[in-house]
Amino acid sequence: MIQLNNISFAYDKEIILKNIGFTIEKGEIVGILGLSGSGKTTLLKILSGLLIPDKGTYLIDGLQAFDKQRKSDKIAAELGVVFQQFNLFPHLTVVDNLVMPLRLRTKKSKNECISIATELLDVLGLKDQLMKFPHQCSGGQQQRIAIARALILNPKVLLIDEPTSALDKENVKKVEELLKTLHQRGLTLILITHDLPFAQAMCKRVVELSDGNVLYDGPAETYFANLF
Amino acid sequence: MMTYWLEILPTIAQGFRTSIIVYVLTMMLALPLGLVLGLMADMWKPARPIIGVFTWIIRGTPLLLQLYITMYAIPLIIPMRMDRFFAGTLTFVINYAAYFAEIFRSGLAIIPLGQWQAGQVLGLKRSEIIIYIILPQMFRNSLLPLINEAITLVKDTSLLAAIAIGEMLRNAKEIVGRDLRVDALVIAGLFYLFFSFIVVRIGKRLELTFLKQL
Repeated sequence: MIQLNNISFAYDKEIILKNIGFTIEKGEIVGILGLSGSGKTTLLKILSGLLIPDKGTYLIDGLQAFDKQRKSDKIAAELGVVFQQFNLFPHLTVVDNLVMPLRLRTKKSKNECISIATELLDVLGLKDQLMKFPHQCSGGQQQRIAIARALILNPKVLLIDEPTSALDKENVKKVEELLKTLHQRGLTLILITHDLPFAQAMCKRVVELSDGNVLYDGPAETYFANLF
Repeated sequence: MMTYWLEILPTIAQGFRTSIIVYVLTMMLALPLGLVLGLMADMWKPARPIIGVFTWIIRGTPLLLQLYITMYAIPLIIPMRMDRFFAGTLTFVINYAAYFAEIFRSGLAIIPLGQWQAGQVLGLKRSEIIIYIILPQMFRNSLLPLINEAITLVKDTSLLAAIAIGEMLRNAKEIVGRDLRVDALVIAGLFYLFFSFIVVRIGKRLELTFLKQL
């Protein structure tokens, strides 16, 4: 369970998030929506541990995600993050993009890591891409590699920034199906997006941000019924 | 002509040997020094202005002037006997370290912030991010300009003649002065071409090995 209480954040003196608070339960699919500048990216960075909030508490399973102004290991252990630009490691092959963090984090043997990574990439339909470099893969494939890398450490929550922004219609459908499958396997999904049709198809709950505040937090059905 | 060439070849080859030694020493010492300076300039704020001034001075003045300063001016300030070979090599190491530092620094600067962030969200330590994510990309980004510098250094070794080190060009010039024939310069030119060719080949091999993911 993820719990944010009264989170505030400012860059210099510009306040980006103002006393944000909400809870995400295990197994939810939550869409975090909002226009550009609403604070979505800052929230993503706080959730993923890249930024430390100025005020407020961030709890994961009841434990502080930040300990004395330092990110605890809890965030990386519980959350897998997929960036909008994927941020794959360009100097490593597809399989090594997964093997490197797995080896460093788990101290498993190289062969064991390769076997785990290969199996996961196979599940995501990337078996033929193992030895390619990221730039040799299509946009849709790169996103699936990024999802695979985020899943390699067995997180309970997958946090995805703008999952559809770099994809064509066909690939959006594939991502929808993939995320639904992952959710069925017990993964909690947090989707940060401004793609409303995608959010409507995927999310059970919506948190809408506007100007650093939570404008709406409730069932997706109600949100979209009022919207359209 | 052939007999004459065979006669002068050992002297030029002796100079070539000196040029190669200075070249190898410069690469071996200036690369790690440049790497440390480049990393410090990028990652350690207090060092930035000091390294900035250092690279500005070194890159803003001719290598020939730096050779004269090391060889003739420094012994006037610090009373010491400066060995020519040591002075020449030291100057080359300092000069090339400044260029390498800038190359490494720019190689680091173009790595997107997202690469750091990807390492962070995977729970990697700062040192692991540097070793496994940042440095390999920095080397890849720096490779082509480093190869260019390596080729330039082949030709720059001829500047050692200015402080009377018996490198190839100086030996060739002495032969020309003695025999009033330009053959020695032609042979020296061929040696430089051969040397550059070897460096270019090594550079190409490095490109193929490390830039295949581009």
